[in-house]
Amino acid sequence: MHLFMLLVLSFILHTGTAHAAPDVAGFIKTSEGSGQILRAGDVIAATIGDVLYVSDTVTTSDQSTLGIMLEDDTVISLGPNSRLELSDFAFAPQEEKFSIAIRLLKGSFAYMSGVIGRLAPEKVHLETPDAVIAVHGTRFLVRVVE
Amino acid sequence: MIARILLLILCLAFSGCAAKGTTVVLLKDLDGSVGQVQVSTPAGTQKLSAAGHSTRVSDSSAAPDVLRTLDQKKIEREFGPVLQAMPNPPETFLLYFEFGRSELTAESKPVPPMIIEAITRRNSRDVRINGHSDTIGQREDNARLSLERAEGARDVLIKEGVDPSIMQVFSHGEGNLLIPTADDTPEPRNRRVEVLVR
Repeated sequence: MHLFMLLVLSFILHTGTAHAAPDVAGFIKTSEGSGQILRAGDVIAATIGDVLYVSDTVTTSDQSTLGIMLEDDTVISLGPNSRLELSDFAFAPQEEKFSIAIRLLKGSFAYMSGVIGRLAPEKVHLETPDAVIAVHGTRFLVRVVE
Repeated sequence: MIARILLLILCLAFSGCAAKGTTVVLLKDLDGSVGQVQVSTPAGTQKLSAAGHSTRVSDSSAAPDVLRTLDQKKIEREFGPVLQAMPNPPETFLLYFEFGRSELTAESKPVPPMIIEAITRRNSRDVRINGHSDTIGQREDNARLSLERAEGARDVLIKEGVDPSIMQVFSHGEGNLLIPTADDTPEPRNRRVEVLVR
């Protein structure tokens, strides 16, 4: 029994170190209707408090909306029938490591800059299928029609 | 061709039917100031710098259209649901400590009850305590100092009754100055703890 527990423990510890948890990029803060998070081939129903990681795609359908807060306090919302990909995110002020890369693929979005937008606006990369958007610490809206 | 023209006429008649492309609209910040947004394609750039400024790009091979200015009513009509879905930005509180001590300054003493009020009102389970330093001395020492400051602030908030499980402590060191200064500059206003109720 003890040996078994040890094995389980060493397994947990081992996998814990071998696969360090990916850094949290943000959280779902508001949700109406049925939004989804697409992560590594899985489809997850988005609910308030859910964690977002780099490479997640977030989608909404008819009548549904989502609000996201990233770790640097950037705030983004998705209107109905929208799709956003969080391509990159890093926020480590101590090491002056900053990065935001977001693809607004379709739908409507509201965006409000956070700390990265203030400290390192050149590290914020927003793009749609048609254009790139450079941000100098502000609030704006985007609509993308496919 | 005729089908496209008919579609265009239909689109013009019903403003909800939008044509392919990207539209960007600049808004006023919550504090009333207005920032800037640049929309670019390989064919050109358009700079939005006033509240309501808007441009449209039909596809990546075209330059952004000339600026238009949308009024509040039109913005509300076209972007109502997505504006509604915007999370409230975090509320920020600053705590300062007596020099070299774990006691809050007289000015900071009334702040913890305000923090607790914000946590209760927002029903927040996400409180960030960010320690900061000024730029005097070594970067590593400042990282440690600002962590100690943040941990001190957390202890104060625990004493005031905040649930420790909703608080996370971070150290920003000298990487996120409130008052921008050169390196090796003493600046008491930068030696702060920022509490974000998210």
